[in-house]
Amino acid sequence: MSEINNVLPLPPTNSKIALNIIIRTFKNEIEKTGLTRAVIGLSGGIDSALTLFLAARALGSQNVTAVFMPYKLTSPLSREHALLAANMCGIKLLEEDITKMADSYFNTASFGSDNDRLRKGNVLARLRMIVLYDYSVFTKSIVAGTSNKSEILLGYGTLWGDMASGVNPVGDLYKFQVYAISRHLGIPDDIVQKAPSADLWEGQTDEGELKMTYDFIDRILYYWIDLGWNKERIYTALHEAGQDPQTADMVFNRVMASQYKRKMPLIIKVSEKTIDREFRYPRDWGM
Amino acid sequence: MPLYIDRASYPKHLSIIANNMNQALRIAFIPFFPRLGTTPENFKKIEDTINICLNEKKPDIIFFPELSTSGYLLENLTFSSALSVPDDIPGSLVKLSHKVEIHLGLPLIENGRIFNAHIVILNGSIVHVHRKIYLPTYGLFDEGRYFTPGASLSSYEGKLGKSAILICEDAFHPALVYSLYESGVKHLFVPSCSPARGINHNEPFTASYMAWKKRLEVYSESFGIFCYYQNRGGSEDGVYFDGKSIFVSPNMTAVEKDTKKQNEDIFYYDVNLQDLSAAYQRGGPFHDENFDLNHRLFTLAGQKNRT
Repeated sequence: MSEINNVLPLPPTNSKIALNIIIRTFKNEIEKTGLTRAVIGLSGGIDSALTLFLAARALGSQNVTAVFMPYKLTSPLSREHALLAANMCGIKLLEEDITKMADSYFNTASFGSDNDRLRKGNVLARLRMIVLYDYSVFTKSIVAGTSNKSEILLGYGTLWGDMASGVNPVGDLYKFQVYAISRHLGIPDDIVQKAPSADLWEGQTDEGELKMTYDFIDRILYYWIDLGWNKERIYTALHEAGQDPQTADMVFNRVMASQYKRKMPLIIKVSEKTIDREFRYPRDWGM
Repeated sequence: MPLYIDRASYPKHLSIIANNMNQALRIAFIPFFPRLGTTPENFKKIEDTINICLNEKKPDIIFFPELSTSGYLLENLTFSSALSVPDDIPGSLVKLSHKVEIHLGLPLIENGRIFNAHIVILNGSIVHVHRKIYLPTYGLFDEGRYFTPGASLSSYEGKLGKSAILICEDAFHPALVYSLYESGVKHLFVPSCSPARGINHNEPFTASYMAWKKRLEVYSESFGIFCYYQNRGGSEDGVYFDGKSIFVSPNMTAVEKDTKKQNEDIFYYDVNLQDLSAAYQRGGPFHDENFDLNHRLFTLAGQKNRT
């Protein structure tokens, strides 16, 4: 990776400034709604751990609930890491096992439930979303999102599942920035250094599924999206680094193919004032 | 420049005052945090803030940021938030202008067109209106969709002397600043709604803030003018505004709000007008400015290079 680092170096992350912006905005945006609390699905991974740390700083530990929602295949290490993060923030960890809910559905769905990992993963992510949103109503909380910018851009998440939230404090941070800020906050290496995983089956890793490392993905995304390089310039840089330029296409194609996940559902226009076309109001309307 | 901090009655926060020499006028920089699209509530908060300032430090000028009566990311709320001047300005607020010069940002409706405007209220009347000329409509900005661009530039005689206002991106266009400088303006107020962004560096501030500070320092040094900058505070739709206040004198003294202070803290600064004569005595690029030559060169360069 040293060669790619010469042609597509990643910038430093100013964790102090990022934290200042995120924590103040996170607090503002939640309090504006008249609520004071947040609930976070804690998986044992770095993204939800960082979200938890940010929420604790923004709202106070007493106003944050962490919910760990294991399925029967969830790694015991995930529980250990979720507990570690919650303890460090002084937040009690609530555990809601979704195995019965999930298996009940898998066993009774009229159209069958094969071993399609995508279907299973989506169902588990959406069941977790149901638990979090139900808990948010019960406790008058807002669901805090845990998807980072790299995942959102790749579409590596379940629509209306783990991508669902009221406020996402880490959604404008690439994975390399998530790492930097997590280290700055003192999130333990056990959590920071383990391979990112949706934990859907034993040995699953994000990078194994994506067939690319986040280090590579972030370089392509950062230069393409944040710095506005065109594809040809990125191909040339990869060529100079001795890499197959076409590997960048895997990133470009994923971003384009998942654009629908970053938009509200299409509304077919028939009126003169269609929602989100002519009817344009800020989300903070009156807040 | 020594700063001292003392407790003030402004809600929940500290206020900061920087002492200066005699012949000073005190400016209150307000990092106002309006509630989006709720004009009556914002007017009340504006009046409350002015009264707090008057009771607290008796400033000569109170400087609110861009679109203080409405908030920034208005979209279609622009239409319901637009105000006529002077009819829609509360009488109680106008009355306060007998005690202090008030600078206020608002969506201004005139003949069915809405401008992103800033007004100066002094001694019971509106003495100056600036309509934003350059409306950013790129990136996260969409001002050109809702506002009409202003088409004029003027100055006014305020408590400080010959002054002018450029709203946010207006001040990114040096030609406007130069034009005001040429007309003899000595005090440039820049109210802003500048979203905080840019964390890919090791500097102590966001890239957006550093860009502002550098720009104002260049203007002060090059044109021998005082620059006053006020960004709004708070957040809207997940966008954070840093509430920063900057004062730059032609003596090349830049003073900014202590970074440890809260987003909504008021920054008071006593402007020493003697800085101007000191700067002129010291000399600088503005000392030998040749306006006629500049205009001839502008014309020639424009004719040659315009495509």
